[in-house]
Amino acid sequence: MANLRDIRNRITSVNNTQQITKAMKMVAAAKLRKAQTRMNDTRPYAAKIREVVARLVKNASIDNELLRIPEENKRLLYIVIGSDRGLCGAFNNNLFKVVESRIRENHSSFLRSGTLDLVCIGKKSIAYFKKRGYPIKESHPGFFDNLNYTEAVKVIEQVMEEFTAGSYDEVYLAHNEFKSIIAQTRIVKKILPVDPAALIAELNMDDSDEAIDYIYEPGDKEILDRLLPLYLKIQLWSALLESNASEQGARMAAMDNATENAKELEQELRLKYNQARQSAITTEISEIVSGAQALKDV
Amino acid sequence: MADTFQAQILTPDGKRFEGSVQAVQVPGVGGSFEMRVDHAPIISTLAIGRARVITDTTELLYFAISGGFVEMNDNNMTLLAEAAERVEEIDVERAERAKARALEELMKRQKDKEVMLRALKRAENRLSLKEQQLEGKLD
Repeated sequence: MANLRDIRNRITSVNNTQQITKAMKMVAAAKLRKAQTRMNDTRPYAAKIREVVARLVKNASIDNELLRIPEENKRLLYIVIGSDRGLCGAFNNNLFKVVESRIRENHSSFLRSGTLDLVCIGKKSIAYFKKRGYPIKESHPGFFDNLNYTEAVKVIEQVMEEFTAGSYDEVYLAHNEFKSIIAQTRIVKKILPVDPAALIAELNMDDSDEAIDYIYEPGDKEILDRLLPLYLKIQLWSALLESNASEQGARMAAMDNATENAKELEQELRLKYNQARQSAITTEISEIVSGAQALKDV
Repeated sequence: MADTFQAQILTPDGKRFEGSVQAVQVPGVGGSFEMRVDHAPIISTLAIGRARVITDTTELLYFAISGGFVEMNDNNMTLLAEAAERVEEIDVERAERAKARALEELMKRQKDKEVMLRALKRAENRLSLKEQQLEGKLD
């Protein structure tokens, strides 16, 4: 039978843990609300840009270097968005495993020949891929502590520059998409070269849209030149915001679970404690009784 | 009351303006122009500059715009900017700092000149707008 004091100490410690996880859950909930607002604020802007870009690329005659389909894929780049902090369940690992299996299935030859690079955003993503020996070209730790558009733009601008310079032929973006507070979808998609067909399909534009005869000022090509970078920027930015909101949601769920588990454990320990206490009392009584009996017998 | 149309100003950080307006003047790349009701469908890129909104109550609103583009169709106007602030909300100190930083970078670095020049222009745009507002010279 366990020592009474040991059990008592464990109960206190489980209780403390429970308080911490509960507090973390509440912090995550508050952050989640903020993250969700930011995410929703971005949506109209993103939707509009997508719409106009789709309208422009529908006109197939337009040419842009960000639309350039490479004759041969020589170098690939994966941008992986993880989180900076842990304690959010399988949030990071689930995504990283999807990325790994995707690379293994489609691009294992690139990995072997060293023509596949990673850009890792978030400490967890850096740690994971570094440990497994993936070539990390660029890492951005602590990105989510001060999540802002300007920083995000810098990342994607560099990627675009390298793509146009021909350093990379395809760029993929992997992140968690916010589905609900407790559910995330893991997304790995090609962002460069921009695929006009997918854009148009995504928009689900009907023919009536075509009828609008827009004035393009200064010209449709110039507009597309300006718009495609904006489109990519907002893609990364929304991915970051989605990931951020998902992370908080995942943490909230994980911490809620932990609190529940701690509660259960505490109950178990309390039962054990009472059992031990009772048997200690029983032993004591029987000792006293037998002591008294022994005295009487003398 | 004059005819009005719907306008909204969006940025990656959220909506800056939404409502019915009489006219919106925007800083097009080829020069500033104004859109009124029943304007032909247009998509135009914007330079760094200022947008002026005349609301349905003839209130004048000024925005500092950091490039972007505008779309108008069927009396619905959408202005998309990477950043947009009401002139009242311009943070002078921050703009001053950004200007100083951009100037410094321009002096010592050869690389990224374009980027820094744009940053400088954005900061100057904010400052000049604010100055005009304080002097009551906004038209």
